[in-house]
Amino acid sequence: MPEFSGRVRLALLVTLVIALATVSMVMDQRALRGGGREMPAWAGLLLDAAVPVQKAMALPVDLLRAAWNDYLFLVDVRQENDTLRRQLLEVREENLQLREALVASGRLARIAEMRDEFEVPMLPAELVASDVSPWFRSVLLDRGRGDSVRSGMPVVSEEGLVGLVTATSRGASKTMLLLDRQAAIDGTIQRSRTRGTVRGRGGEELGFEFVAREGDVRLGDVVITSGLDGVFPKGLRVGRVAAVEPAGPGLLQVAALDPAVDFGRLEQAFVMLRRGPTMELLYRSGDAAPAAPAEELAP
Amino acid sequence: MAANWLPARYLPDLGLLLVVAASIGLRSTSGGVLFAALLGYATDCVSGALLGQHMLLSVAAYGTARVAATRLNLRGALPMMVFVSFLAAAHAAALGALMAFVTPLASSRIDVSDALVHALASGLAAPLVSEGVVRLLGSLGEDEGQRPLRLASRALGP
Repeated sequence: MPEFSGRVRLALLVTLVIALATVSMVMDQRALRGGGREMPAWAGLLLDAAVPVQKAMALPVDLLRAAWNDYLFLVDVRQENDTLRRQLLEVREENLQLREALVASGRLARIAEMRDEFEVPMLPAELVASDVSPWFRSVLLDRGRGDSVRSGMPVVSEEGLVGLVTATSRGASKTMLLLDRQAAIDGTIQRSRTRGTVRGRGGEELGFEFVAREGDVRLGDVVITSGLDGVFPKGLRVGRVAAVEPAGPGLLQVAALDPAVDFGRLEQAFVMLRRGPTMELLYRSGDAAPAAPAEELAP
Repeated sequence: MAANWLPARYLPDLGLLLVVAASIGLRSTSGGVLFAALLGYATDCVSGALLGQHMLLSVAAYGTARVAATRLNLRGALPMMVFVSFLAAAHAAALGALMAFVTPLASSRIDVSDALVHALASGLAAPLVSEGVVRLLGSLGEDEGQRPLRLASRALGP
């Protein structure tokens, strides 16, 4: 009899766990479609605790890396410095010529206006850990709700678009990288203005889906955000076309992209402290992102 | 969360290893299920998975390991390595299937080479983690292998 009741109890427990997990997944999927979620307190504690633990664990490796980069690796620095100086001069020259061309065509004022329009306060954040599972591509940032970071905010680096904040706790936030299988954004080929959807593939490259008949996509083309998804601002670099897969019988054709951001070396990123219009609409009821404190904002 | 200087595919799945170790070390099956569920949920909280994905798979892995432990000698290093490698590969496949079900728009294709590398890394680390957990449980008086065997006795004679 006790054995029977034990089995019944076990069966009930397993059923309860399966039901909880299923409900949890469905609810989380809905929340994620809405751009993300604020984590419950107990889950937030886990994220908050992960930041100092990860920083402590990474300390020996960071010290070793710093020693290597600052001392042992300096052998080639002089040569590299000369090359960079030369490149800088070339770029300055090119920049001057481009500015002249822009002024001449009267577009500079328009670009300045656009920059004012899209200027978004940015908060620097450190990547403290990457995903524990190889099947998901997310990272943990050391800034959270306490720093005005909210779900649905874009994350960028100087190289381009990094991803989207999907969950936050008080002192940390989880960011889904562009590489994640669940990531999808509206992109445009900068040269031909061909629109398509950039999707993460879980690996180190991205896929760009576009309409085969209308698409003009070539190797080396730069893909930028179109801004039409209302999530990411227009004009952020996403990647470069590395291969165009042959068109199949379907309507869509796919190109493989090399991401603009080197995710393997990414250590610091910037959270854009303003959600896109779609995200703002989704979050309008209740959780409006407050303006960030001025002293924390980077220009 | 994993270290960000090493791709996660080269790291063993610590959650899975702990669940397998619990399946051979913990006496109470209910306790093991609860442990696996909580560990899975914690993994979901810090990873990019949907809340509940790892929880479900963790409980399934615990059940599989618990059944396997009754038929295989999982205290031996080699059987443990082989079993965990297969379990980790099955875990990856199950995760792909679950993703295809709950997030149909996302790409649920799991890279086979990544899955194999991850399974191998998990298999290699399994005996070490298992031994550690079983010893820890043993010191707490929880080791399944140390459980006293109760034999029904019957008075002899008239």
